Amino acid sequence: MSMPFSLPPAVSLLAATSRLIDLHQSRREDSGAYSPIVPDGAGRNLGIALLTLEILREIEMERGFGFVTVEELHLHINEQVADVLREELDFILELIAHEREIRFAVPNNARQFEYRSTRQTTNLILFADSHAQIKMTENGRLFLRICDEERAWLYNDADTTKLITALRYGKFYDLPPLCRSISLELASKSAMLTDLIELPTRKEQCDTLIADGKGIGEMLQNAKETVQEAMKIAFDVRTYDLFEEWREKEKAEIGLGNIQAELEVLLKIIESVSRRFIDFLSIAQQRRDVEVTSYKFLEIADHLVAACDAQSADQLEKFMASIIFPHFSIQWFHPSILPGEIDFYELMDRANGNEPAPNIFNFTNKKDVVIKRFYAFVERNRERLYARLESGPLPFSELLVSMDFELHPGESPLDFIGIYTTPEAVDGAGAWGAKLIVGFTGRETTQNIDKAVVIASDPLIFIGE
Amino acid sequence: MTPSESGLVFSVLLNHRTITDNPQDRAPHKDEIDAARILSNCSSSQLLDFEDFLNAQGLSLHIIDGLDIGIPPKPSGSNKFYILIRKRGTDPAAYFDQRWFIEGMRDKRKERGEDSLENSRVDTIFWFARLWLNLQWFFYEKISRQPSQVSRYDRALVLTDNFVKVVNEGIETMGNRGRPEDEAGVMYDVLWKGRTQIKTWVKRFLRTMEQAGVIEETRVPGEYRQTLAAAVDMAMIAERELAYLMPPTGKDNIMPRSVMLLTGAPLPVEISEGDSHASN
Repeated sequence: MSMPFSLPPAVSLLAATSRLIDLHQSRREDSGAYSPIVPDGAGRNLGIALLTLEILREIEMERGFGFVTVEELHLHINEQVADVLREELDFILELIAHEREIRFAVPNNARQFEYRSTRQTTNLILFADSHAQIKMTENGRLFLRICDEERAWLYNDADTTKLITALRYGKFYDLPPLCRSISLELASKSAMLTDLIELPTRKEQCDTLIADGKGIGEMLQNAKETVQEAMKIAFDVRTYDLFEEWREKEKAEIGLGNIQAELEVLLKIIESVSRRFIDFLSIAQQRRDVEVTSYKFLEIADHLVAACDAQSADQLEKFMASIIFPHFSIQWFHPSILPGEIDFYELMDRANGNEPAPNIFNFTNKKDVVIKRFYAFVERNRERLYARLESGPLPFSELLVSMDFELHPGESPLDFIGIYTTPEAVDGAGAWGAKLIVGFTGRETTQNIDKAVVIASDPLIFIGE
Repeated sequence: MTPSESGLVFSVLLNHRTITDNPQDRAPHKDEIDAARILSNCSSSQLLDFEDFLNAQGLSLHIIDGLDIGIPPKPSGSNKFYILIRKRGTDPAAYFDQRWFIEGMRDKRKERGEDSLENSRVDTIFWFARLWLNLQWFFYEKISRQPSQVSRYDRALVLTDNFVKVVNEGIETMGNRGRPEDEAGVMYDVLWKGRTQIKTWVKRFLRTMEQAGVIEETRVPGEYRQTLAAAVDMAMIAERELAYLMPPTGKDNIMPRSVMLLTGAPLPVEISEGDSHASN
């Protein structure tokens, strides 16, 4: 795998617009997606052109917007690249000084395109009359400025000041889209940081960010303060009045609350990106020299064929079972299927020094009588219950109606209710027969017992190991 | 988090693996928004308790801030993504079926008497492993992405027809290379025999992967994208399990590594070294 490298901003910009230029040059008759064949010397030519622009700017910064002789420019270029010939330079200057036509179209109110064209905004330098001197055009400067933007990573504080302007001048409609566009921009930066954290091998990119660390930190801090300031204004009484007045006039459907909420989200995002940036700095500095393993999945697949033996199937099955997320499909649920099950009621009872009380119910209201009667009832009917469950799992409702309970005076099948909260009363934790398992189903049952309508859970009851 | 709240959260996690209050390109699942609210209101000690509970089931909770993967938050949402993952080094609880995928790959038409494939368990495993590796090729190698780059999960896409094509080409190349001798030719035989049924295998495999929550269908029928949960899984698989499948470097051979896989022992140093040299 070739190591990723970062592009100089000018090349990024060129690359980003190149397909539009290609499209601009292509004809529909050409079949397929048109892509010009790049000549061998393209890289060199581009290199010289970009050097020219950079040198012109440096000179401009030193002396202001004057003309520079081609001879001087050539000397400066040779300081950086020794073998650039004057003829080459002349060819390139001629080309970038030449205007070309750009045709474009803008939609009008009638949902049609209006066609236009421009020439003046295409040449990057212009020659003096003598052709021996050049200077950069506005387009050249624009190009360099956009390149700088690409370098000015995370410098969103300039955008955030627009929030305050919009609030002060009552341009409330502008605020939500402004907040969202800043949010989106910050989210993309945050994703980019994550990308670098996840694969910290793009050294140049990492280095640029690390070197800019202090500046970026300050910018984020400024952005944060600006948004806080904007929030102060948004929550101010005067803004409220201004907003109400505006809303009346515009018949707007948004409330000031919406704007306040958007600002709050924005503040959260800035804080989060700041944290992410700190994460990035600490991780990037530790792991910059880490080399990454390259995974060649198709080669692994072929390797498995070549290295196959009698154990392969079992090993692969084990391997796949260990990486594919396990499936769960159960028709019923009981806490006992979860490892580490805890009965909080039981814990509470034991903590108070009491025997766990079964959660039961009948029409006798005295608690100790209820419990005694319940256990006596269970004792008497245990064998019948097991016998009934031998044939397979049964819902509680079916047991209630189909079991032939041995009843004492005053008892009814109602005494059986509550059994699903205390299966251990029946099986004595295995002491009196196989374990009784109660699985919750989420269903309910309605029964008429003793002239009462009883609505209870309808779990599935069965005998386990 | 009350016990009933943890029950709700756990059930949503079991059913969908991911909980978020800012789902992308899909409607929230049943109870998902409530579960996300419960989780985002948890204190860190409550989250630790919940993590303990999950650990006992052989599971763990992985939390991602949506902003970190380029998803801007909505007002009143936490924008967190809670993902249920396996806890490395422990077995999942008994109520999980770890080998369900073999059953999942079974031809459902068989019961209707339309099955044209007499596929045994071994066939299924060999095909499954091969298709899984091919799928990872689409998600990583093809788009120059490393398994550690979880955040690029949204770029990992595969179109069924292209998938079939790549698998087909792979099997053809394998055929041209010739059958390894004797016992070593078992996988070759299985794959070669199944080459006329590649479409069917791929269809079943993608269906199983969708069920496993590894992929989800995009708005284009037949085109799938990797899920965030699968990307999180793969980052860990690459770190730990995948090395067992890698071709051995130098004198090392596959047998000891298989034993290590079975016993869960860490990889020996020489393999790790070999891997890091591979990209030099």
